[in-house]
Amino acid sequence: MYEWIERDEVDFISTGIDKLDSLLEGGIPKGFFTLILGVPGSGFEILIKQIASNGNTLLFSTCETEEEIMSTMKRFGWNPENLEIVDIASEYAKRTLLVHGKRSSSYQRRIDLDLKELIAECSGGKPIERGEEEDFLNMLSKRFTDSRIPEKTIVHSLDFFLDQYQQSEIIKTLHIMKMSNMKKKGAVFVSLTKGVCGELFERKMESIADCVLELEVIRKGTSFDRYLAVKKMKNYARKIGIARYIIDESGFVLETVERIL
Amino acid sequence: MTFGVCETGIEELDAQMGGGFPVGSTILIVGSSGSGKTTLCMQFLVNGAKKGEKGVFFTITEPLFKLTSNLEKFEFFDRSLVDDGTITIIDLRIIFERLGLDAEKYTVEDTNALLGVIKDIAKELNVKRLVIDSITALCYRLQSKEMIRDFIFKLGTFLAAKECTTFLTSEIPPKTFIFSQYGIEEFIADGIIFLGEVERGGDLIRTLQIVKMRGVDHSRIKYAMSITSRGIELAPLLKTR
Repeated sequence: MYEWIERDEVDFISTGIDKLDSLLEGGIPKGFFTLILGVPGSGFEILIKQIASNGNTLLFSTCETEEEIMSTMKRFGWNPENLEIVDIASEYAKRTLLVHGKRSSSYQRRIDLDLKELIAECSGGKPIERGEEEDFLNMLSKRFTDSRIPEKTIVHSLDFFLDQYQQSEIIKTLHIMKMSNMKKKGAVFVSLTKGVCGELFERKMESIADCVLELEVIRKGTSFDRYLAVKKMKNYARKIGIARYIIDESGFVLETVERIL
Repeated sequence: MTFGVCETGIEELDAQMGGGFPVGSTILIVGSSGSGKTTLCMQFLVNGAKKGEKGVFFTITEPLFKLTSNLEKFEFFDRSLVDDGTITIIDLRIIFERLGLDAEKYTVEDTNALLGVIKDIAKELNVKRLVIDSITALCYRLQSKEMIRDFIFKLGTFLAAKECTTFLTSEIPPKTFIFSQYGIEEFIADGIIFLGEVERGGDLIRTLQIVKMRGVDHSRIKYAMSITSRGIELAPLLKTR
């Protein structure tokens, strides 16, 4: 039953960032669930895109549209060949606009009603059927259990789901993704903005994840130092470490590698 | 200006109030599920219709086809009253949909639009009796007590001016003696009819009680109520076993 965690078969999936791969001593082990924590200003959305532009990737994007993502990637000179984007951001915006548009005009709609026709319709006795709205969280887990998944799957970001769903529901879905990914030996990356949803949820997420990457920004005098920490790496204690990074025109560049252990 | 009375056709009930409900009043029919609220309201409408008074029934809780098929089982109900338009049964959910009110919570504007449509329909059909079943389901969508108060007050005032008597049903949890879910509906209503139950010798007996009726000298005794194929019948509770 647990054949997918046999030691000998362990292989790595490249993150697409050389120094990060070497910090991780090869990359992300197959079947790992990675949490990327970042503070605003750390550039974690850039890291996400850099990871996404490499290899076979499925990206669920909740805060940027496909267009925005592609134009940022182009600016950095990344050419994703096998990237599929599930554009939740556009879908959500469309839905919100539609509902908002409808609601704001209930006054107008009343004026436009043909009363005789309305009475006839309402007393017609026809049961109403309502189209169901797509549930984004359901979409995530369905996509994971239904079909084959690519090498990398990225959810950017969890913040969106936290606004719409109960934490317990989200955690359940993430568990499904984690289990399914473990069997299918892909790499799942999930991003979360640090500090927006409480420490408890972050802790829970850190314990679910096999690997935790955290991006920090520290102000030193008149400049900012940025650090990428590998906070957790299940079964690979040696890989825990921290590296300073800068973001230049080609993307993430990791500088010194400091080993904690 | 003198107000007449609006008969329900349920003899003991009418007699209690000196012939019937004051025309133009707003009555809250309170009861848990299965207490007979919908049946009482229907009987009220049908009785009016038989005397030529037009009526409208707004349903939210029950789909229309189910409502009519349940009604056919009662002897007092006459399908032709619906067919010839004396009684109109309206599915409020279709109105919600046509107004684009698909969210659970309504804004002030949404509420006014909805109130407007209900008024328009009452005016268009020129009804003398109106039922909303249930006001609780409607209040659930209004966001504050003020909005509920405002809605019921405005509706009641408009219908009173049109000399239309209104029944609003109020759903409460079983075995409780409160009048509404939101604690506000009863203050705006002119009258309250409470449908409850008492246990007597191991049997559950349905009861009906006039709790409040503005401008009418009524008693507050409990009646035993039975629902048969003839509709609602009342008897003083003390005489039943």
